[in-house]
Amino acid sequence: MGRGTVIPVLFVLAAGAGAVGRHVVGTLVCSWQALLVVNTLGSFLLGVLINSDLSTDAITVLGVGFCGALTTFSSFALETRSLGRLWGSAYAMLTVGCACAAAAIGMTMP
Amino acid sequence: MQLFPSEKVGLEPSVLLAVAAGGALGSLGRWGVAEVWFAETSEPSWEWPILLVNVIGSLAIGIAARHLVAGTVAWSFVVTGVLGGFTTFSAFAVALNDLADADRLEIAIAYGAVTLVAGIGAAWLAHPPERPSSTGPPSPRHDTTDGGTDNGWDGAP
Repeated sequence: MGRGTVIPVLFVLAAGAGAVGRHVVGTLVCSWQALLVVNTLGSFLLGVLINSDLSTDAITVLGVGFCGALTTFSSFALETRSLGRLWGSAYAMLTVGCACAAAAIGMTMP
Repeated sequence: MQLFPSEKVGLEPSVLLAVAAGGALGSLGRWGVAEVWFAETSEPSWEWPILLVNVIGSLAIGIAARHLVAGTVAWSFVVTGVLGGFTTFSAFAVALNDLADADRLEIAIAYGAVTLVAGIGAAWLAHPPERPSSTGPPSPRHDTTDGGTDNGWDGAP
């Protein structure tokens, strides 16, 4: 298997694992909590990755693949919409705040 | 609304496989969008690919939520897998940080606001929340279990 095939295969595995991770958290706690947890955790991990010494390929697999699939915007949008105007706004702000803070902390990690 | 099945159903191999396969497909799509979108500059800028996948995915999830039953294998494949993998929050959060770090705070705020309004708005438009009926008894056709089985408005005569 050449190098040109290895990265997409690893990407598929990483993305599949990320999506399964998000799903498993979703089966354990209620949806808004699950999405807040995975979106915050994935943002932290991506922050750590992009400031690491890893190669571009590794960041594609772990960052774009795993972190990208662990986090989600579409389910977040659907959940926020169902919370109504007040709670939806609060939830959106909470998620953006937690995810951005987590990414910022991740980006400053040595 | 409940977006994920119970632990008992959700950890069945068929469901996990559907999520993994869908997640891989959706993520490949997102990677593809990022690859074909030629970045003109390495400076932190308005991240069109992330905005694009997030808004399209949010529109699609609203449509999917009207036609699929939450917790089924089909739901897990399409909603949790494909659309969950196609859209991303981590790249969005990092993009906001990059813009803020590059002293482009006003662009960061605008980018965040546009993404939230367009994304949530797309999901809202594609799947408007049930309005509480103020007059008369609730219509039997009006399904109040949000996101559950289709309420019969589509294709109904």
